[in-house]
Amino acid sequence: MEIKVRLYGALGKGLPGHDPLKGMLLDLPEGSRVGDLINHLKIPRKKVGIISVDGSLVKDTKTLHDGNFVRLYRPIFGG
Amino acid sequence: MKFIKIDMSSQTISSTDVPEAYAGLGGRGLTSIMINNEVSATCDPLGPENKLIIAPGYLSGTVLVNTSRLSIGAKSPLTGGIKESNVGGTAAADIAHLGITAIIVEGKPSDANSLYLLKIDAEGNAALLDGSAYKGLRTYELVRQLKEAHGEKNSITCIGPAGEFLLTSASIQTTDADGRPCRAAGRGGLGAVMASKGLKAVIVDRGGKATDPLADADVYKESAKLYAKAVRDDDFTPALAELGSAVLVAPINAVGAFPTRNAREGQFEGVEKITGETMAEVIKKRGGINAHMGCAQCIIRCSNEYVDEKGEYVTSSLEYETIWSMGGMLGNDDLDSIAKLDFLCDDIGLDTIGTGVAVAVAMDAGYKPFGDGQAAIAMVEAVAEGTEMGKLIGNGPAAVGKHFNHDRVPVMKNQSMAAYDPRAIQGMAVTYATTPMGGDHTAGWVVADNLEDFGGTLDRFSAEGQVENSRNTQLHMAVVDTVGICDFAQSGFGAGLDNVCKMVAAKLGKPFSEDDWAALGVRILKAEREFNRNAGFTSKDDRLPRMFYEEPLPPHNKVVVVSDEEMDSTWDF
Repeated sequence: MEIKVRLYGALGKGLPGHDPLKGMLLDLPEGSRVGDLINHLKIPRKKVGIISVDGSLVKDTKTLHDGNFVRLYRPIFGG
Repeated sequence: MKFIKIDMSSQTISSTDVPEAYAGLGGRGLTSIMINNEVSATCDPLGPENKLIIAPGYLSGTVLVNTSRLSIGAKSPLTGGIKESNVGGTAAADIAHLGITAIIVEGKPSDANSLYLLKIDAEGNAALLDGSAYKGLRTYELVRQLKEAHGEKNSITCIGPAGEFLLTSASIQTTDADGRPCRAAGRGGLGAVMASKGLKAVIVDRGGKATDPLADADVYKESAKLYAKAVRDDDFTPALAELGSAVLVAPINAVGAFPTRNAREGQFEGVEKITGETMAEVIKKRGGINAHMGCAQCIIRCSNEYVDEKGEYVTSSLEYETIWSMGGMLGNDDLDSIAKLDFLCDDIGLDTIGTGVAVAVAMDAGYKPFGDGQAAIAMVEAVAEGTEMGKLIGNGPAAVGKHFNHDRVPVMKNQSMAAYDPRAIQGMAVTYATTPMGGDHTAGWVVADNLEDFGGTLDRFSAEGQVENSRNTQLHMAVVDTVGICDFAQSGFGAGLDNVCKMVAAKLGKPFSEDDWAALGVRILKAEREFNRNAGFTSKDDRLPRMFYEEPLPPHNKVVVVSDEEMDSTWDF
């Protein structure tokens, strides 16, 4: 299945094929979860903060479906 | 370790050793405790009794990274309460390098039309110069002329037309590492206080060599190294360099906490056009600068230089709060107009947060449509022109709301909230309502603590634990602003609070424990609360406007659920 993914907050820096404004398309096996996607991208889990699928906030156990748009945001800190 | 006192009534200057009562203090701790001790809480903020206190952090000017933080304190003409407005740039380091603990500006010239410059040379000698030739100048032109007259190697802390008009959103601007007046002590209308003293600019030589001696330089150096390493090693540091504080736009919008169209919604459909990611790409494509160093001794470089399509300078630094106040809050997805508004605020000498929210309230009241960036530019330009509408905008959201008889005004103690909606992050409701500063996010930024996915342990839609967490954060931040560490360099606390305490002790020459740190936080908040009580504030002032309790915020459709009793338990001393 095809999943669109976009990484925010410099999470996608150096990731081949990832456009910081458009993200990238990935082929993942049916039944994959968000956690599998994060592993596939080889991003350490602790570097991912919130996750949204098609605009709704989800956990990394969420099962993905063809055509989903996954956004991954890094943990924040600030003021 | 000296105070430079400027009596503007007599135009005399004196220098004194720091009295024992203020030993070990700098930054906010010094300004707040001194204001509570020495300024009548009921005085006219723009009268001779008020004092404008300019104090570098206690650790500013030392080898510790990211410590060029300047606290400016006074009784605020915006809130009517105590105010500490905190700013970066180079002035804090420069003042500390001259061995000056604080510049205290008091009194008021009898001739309301007189205007002065305060010049401090490389030996720390201060002099008042006639500044009447600079009357009415905007800050960029003012700085250009002052550098021409006094040399490039000065930091300049100054006001623009908004200050001279005594408007309550007037900022005090200070120069960054490139010498531009683009850093703002924005909150609380302190630019009007500076103007009321007849002071247009403070010019400080950047070559001071009289930094306060350290009692134990070796221990200090060792701890400073550990601190810097923790900042460098932190995961968030490269993201801040890459995108600046605008890194926050996308995630705060994603969690539905990005107040949009005067806080009618928590998500902005045009957000992708104004995220940090978009901004960084635009800057890169046009030949501007990301990862720009704005402040002395900064190793994070969260600043940027935003340029137009021709590659010409527009502003520095375009930050999260301004992208929100001039972007999402106005329903404006045009990054170029947001950058222009940021520049205008710096140039006219205005708080970008309060000014953007004032424009948002006007749009909400139907004065102009949401999304019209050009209308916002015209409204901000009107401030410098001194028109009636300009005066309203320059006096902040509450003034605008009153004019239009419009009650959707997101202010606390008359000062606008910042870019985190309290309905979507209940911890920010507590901070906004209970900080003595009025609506202020830096007083106790508890956003990550409220978001489980960012490592937080609190339910952001529940009141449970929010008061205690906000209280502890506010107490801690009061001391962070006292030692003068940049908010974004707090990752250095990863090397331990005890490591920072060691540095305080190594300067002080006597033990300073984590308990002392906590006690100092309480001492500062007590002083600030006492001042506000004496100024007439009661628990009723520690509340949010009705809109936050009554209007559910999409997309989560929540309201603030922290009760009045819980708010009142925040300060249990």
